[in-house]
Amino acid sequence: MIAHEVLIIGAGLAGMRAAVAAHDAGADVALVSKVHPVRSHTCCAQGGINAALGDDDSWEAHMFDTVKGSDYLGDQDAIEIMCRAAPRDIRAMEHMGCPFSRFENGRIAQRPFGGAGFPRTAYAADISGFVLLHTMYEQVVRREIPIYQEWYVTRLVLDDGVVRGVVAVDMLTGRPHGMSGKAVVLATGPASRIYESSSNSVDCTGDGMGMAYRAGLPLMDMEFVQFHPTGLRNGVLITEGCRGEGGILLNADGERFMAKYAPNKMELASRDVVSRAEATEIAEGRGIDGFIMLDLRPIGPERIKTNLLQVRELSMDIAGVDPCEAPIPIRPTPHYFMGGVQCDADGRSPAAEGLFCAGEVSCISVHGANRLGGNSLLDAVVFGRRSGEAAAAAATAGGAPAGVPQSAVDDQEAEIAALAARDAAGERQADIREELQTLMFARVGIWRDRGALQAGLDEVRALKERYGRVSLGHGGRVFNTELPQVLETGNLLDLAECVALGALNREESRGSHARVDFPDRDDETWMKHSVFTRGDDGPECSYSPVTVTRHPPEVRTY
Amino acid sequence: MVTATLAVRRFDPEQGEESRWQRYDVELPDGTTVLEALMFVQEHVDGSLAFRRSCRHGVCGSCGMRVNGCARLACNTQLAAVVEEAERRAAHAHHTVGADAPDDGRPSVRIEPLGNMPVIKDLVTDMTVFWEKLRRVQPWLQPLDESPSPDAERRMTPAQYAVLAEGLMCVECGACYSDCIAVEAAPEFVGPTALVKAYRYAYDVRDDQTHRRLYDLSDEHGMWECTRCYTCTQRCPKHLRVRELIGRLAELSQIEGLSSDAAVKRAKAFVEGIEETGRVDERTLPLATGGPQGALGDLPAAARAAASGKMKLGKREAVDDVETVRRVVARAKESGGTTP
Repeated sequence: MIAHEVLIIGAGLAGMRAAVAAHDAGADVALVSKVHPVRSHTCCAQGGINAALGDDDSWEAHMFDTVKGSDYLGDQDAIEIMCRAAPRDIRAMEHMGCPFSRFENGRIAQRPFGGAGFPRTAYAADISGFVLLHTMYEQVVRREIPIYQEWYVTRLVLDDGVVRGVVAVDMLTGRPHGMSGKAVVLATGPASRIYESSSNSVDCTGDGMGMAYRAGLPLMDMEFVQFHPTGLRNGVLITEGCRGEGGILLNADGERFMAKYAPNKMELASRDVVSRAEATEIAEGRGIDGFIMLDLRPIGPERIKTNLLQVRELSMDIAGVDPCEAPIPIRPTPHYFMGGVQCDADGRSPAAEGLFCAGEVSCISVHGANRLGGNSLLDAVVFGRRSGEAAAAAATAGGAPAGVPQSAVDDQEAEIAALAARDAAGERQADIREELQTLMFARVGIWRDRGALQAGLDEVRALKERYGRVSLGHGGRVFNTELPQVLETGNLLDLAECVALGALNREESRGSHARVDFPDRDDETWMKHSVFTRGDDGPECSYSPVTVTRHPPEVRTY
Repeated sequence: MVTATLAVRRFDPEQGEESRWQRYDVELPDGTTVLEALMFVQEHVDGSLAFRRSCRHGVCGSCGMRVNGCARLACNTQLAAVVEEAERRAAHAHHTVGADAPDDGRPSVRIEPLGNMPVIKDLVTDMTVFWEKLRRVQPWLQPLDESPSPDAERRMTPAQYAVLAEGLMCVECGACYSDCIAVEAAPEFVGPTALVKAYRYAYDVRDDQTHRRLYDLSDEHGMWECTRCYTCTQRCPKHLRVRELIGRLAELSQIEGLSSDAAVKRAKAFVEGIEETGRVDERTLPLATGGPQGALGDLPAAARAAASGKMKLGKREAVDDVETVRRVVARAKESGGTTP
């Protein structure tokens, strides 16, 4: 049996930051990832990472912007921890070698971002996540931390509320293995692939959220899914940095319509506000073939070619438009899960001893009902470090690991064999996944109401029923890429059910959750987190209080 | 719509030792990429087809593969463009690359795994050696001061950032490595991808190990094994000027006084010979490169070359217009070419 003191599931920025922190704290740590680390979704983050680095900025201002951005659903104790830690954590990344863009004086450059009162987003051109990911990977390589790459983790193994490890399938052989750990850190990223036209990598299938949920751990605030204002036709993202650098949004009449929705912040209002404004313009007939125009020409070609190079290439490749010459057609695209596995500011799950989370899989909650641009990479770095440290402390105390029982491995092997043995004419995972993505986009999207949400929930449940008959098209074991896809779709269905149920229950509008039938925020009834646990007939929903320390809720305008 | 026949080189170790071609006919919307076409096939036609993919917009580096004989990222390759390319090549019958691909009627878009690495299944290759070579260049910052103040970053000007930024966007997809003829000829050659990574650290003003990095890459499988064929630059799906960056490593080695390398000496002797007579004098190269001992070792090869008429033994006569050759060499030196 494979055994390490700390097992980290997922090797994106959060997972690798946790691995380095746990290693440096003296723990025997290993990374397990379904892809090679540099293939992780972090590489898609373009715009940057927030910290109050400037002499005239402050962590308090960063905290206020984040609380307001969260529409007062973020837990303020956790937000304070993140914003206080940000400058040192970002400089620690710089010390590890991360190549940030620079001001003339040689210091880390920062640009304006949505919902922020100060230009506090540090960046590397428009490849910020990419350079952070590669820097972190290189630190992992330097420390010779073992990486089980292209191992797909299928199950979290608990014993009476204590973590014992995971079961993972080695893609090279198609065989499941028990992996024992005294602490497990989930860092598996988001589940935005429940939607069509998502900005997320194809791999963002909520594997960690799904396995935690099946193991009985609570998920939180799943109804809050961020739609990013500027996605291309296929969901590929155009960074908020474009608007930070001076890009503007125009409707079919050439009108800079954000003046109507956010007269002060304009295009740099919070993402939920800008996405809703775009959706309204499109719905009221002022879009162009269902798109809004993002005009970068005010920035000028020279700056576009240095600071927005990737954006220009993507725009030319996917939309056939050179943004130096013409506006880019964009629309809101499903982008980020504010919700996830419930945990505290050390990433610790309250429901299982030895289980930690970091990055987008987690709900700490620092993003509340809407995340600010530039705060997700920060979340990954700060809470990646903290969860790694906490996991190392938990794992190096106490006795030997109990190990994963062989029965858990045997169960996994039996599940694979059963999928392969099932009639090949059974349901195909791709059909189920596509139908799920379409219905979630249509019924549980930007604008929500009771009728559509109830219909959406019913349709998700019908798909779950069909999923019971899903089969593998073939029984090969070596790099059978269909096998993880089938299991991923199972995760997506469970998580989509939580999203739809949470959205149906929450009868108010807050942050990314906009109910047409309940257009106002209702602090009296709904200033609380939704908590989802797995019951016999799907998720059971309860609620937990929001922590307020410095900023009582106020009316939120931009 | 784009109509295409994809000819995919399939290999399944559970089914036997041999690879085979399999054709898939697809009709997909305009703007479809090769990756989207493969995903369509895998999800709706043949779930056993294996390939890697993740971000689908050219930044994760997963979907490197050969399309029509050239290594590319499937996600930023338009299907219509490679269909047209296949048709254009078929119209010129002398084009024989991949002639074993099936072709009944319509020219097919040939899709194969990356080269210079073993195949695991279908388009999935074993990149273990590729990753090891990246590790060899110690790809992490090695500054003099290992514990700087936690409240201050190391300074770097925008101009200094711009220099290393030229090597930053490498997504490590393996396209350049796949089609590198030097790796093909000498599998131990560190290869273009690792050299781009070496460039990124050697030219980082915060790093203190530039000299040692260059020294480590001056051995027989280091930067000098590059044949300067520029295939890497042509292939790079992120438009990195790979060969130029390798050349700048060589340039920096000169500045760092690392010209003791045999290849530098050889290059110098080569240029001196050209300046003198306008011809390459093979007789002088072994001595200049390897010294007396090295030259002795080259004697058998020299004897064979002389016997077969490949190498003349007598003194080199200057070419007719040697002055023109000398002017060309002088101009090349003035313009500061990137290699010695």
